[in-house]
Amino acid sequence: MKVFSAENVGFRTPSKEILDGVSFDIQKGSFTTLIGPNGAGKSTVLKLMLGFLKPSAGKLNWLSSQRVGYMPQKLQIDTSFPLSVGRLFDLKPGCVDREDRERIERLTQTLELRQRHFSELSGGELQRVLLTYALLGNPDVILLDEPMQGLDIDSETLFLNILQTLKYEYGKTLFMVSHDLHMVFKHSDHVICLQTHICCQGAPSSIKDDPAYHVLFGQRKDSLMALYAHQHDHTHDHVHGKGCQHE
Amino acid sequence: MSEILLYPLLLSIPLAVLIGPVGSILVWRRSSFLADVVSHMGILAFAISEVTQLPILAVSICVSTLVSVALEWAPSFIPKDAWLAGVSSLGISIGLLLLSSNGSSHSFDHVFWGDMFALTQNDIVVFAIATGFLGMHLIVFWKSLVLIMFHEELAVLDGIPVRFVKFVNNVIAGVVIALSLKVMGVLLTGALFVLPSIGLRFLNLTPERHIIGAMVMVFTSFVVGVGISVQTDAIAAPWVIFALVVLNFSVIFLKKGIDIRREK
Repeated sequence: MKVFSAENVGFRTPSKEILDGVSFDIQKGSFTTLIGPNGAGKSTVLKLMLGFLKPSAGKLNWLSSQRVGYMPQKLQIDTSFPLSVGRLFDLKPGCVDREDRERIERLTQTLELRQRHFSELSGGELQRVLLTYALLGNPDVILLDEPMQGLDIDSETLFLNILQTLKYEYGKTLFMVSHDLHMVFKHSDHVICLQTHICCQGAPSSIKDDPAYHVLFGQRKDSLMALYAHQHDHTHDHVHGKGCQHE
Repeated sequence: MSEILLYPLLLSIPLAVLIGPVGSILVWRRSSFLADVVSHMGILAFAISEVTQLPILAVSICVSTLVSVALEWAPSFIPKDAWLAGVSSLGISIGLLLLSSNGSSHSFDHVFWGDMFALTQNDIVVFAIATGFLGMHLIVFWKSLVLIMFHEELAVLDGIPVRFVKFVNNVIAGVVIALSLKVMGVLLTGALFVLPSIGLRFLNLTPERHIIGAMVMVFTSFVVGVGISVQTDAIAAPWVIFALVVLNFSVIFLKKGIDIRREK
């Protein structure tokens, strides 16, 4: 069953076309990932889905009964703002009941972070707190904006395990924007490649063989896909591909 | 106690109650510079009041509120700090040009430094009313403000009327800054809003306790500043700021000292 569909969506600023003719569906209970180089329009797609932006063309349709949760990429909280994690959770409007809240906090391993202030959290802890905040609204669909960015391997693995539990045990629908190709292909069941328009989309196994995917990521994909095969004794500051050729 | 000392001391309570929360929220929203810019607009307000003969307090409130609200919705293609600096300089320039063209022969000292010994009963009443409005604002919107300060987009998704709450908050900030101008003057008012949060951030309090701490710091520094001013026959506002800085350092050193003793 479709929970969301985008039909020929376009978005442009006065000086630039950000999205053109973007169409895709999200199936209930699926783990869909949107990939693409910097400036491809990934965050714009999320903002359109959340209603923060209006499309210049096309339509976005949510199944009416869906509750949507959002995990932002960045937190702009001032370090002097003395807010504790537990206090934030308690303030969440329309929050689930106490029992469910504890269950969610146990799942995301944030129960022990309740007393901590945001300035004291590591990158991985902060991402889990943001995910918990989204889950406290009991969403059916969770939109995640680059949740793995800057995380070490342990934090990334823990976060992915949580996402897998949400998908398989709780039946949540996940839609994620990501740069981490190795993680995308291992855990997603639908991948969308974006570069202003959609270059290719489908199951990870079919995307890997798609010529548009190879053009989009070029050499970068080889190094990122090789992460499982070798040690982290180097950086991954590679040059992005020039973009896909659309026929 | 003479009236000249009674009114500043009486006013110190509502002043602290107003500045504590408004200043803390400005700092948490990374809008510290806004307090300075809006207070500098006091020169423009004074000039308009001189030219039009309208009451200075009313003009100050109008100008501060307008600037405070307008700055929130500044065009995004200009960096916010550049926009604030530009507005500040422009407001001061227009104010000084208006005053020079009007041929005003008045002294501007009270505009620059404030005059807390010229306070009247009416000022106390106005501050008390403003305190009531701020209290209502915080009672109604406190939770929303905390969530907005945490993350505006998440607050929108949580159904909070972010633009409206920010608008009301900016109006109140404008009014409180305008009221403070009479006491602290256009040059030092901004510091009174921002400084308490510097020391208090080291204490890792809750937001509410941080605000109460800011109120205590403003109240203490105000009373100390007025006291020193009376003793030395000097302008009070700089002494208030000096006392506030000393209080900040005291808080920081005290906290560091406690931490070191705990580690031992």
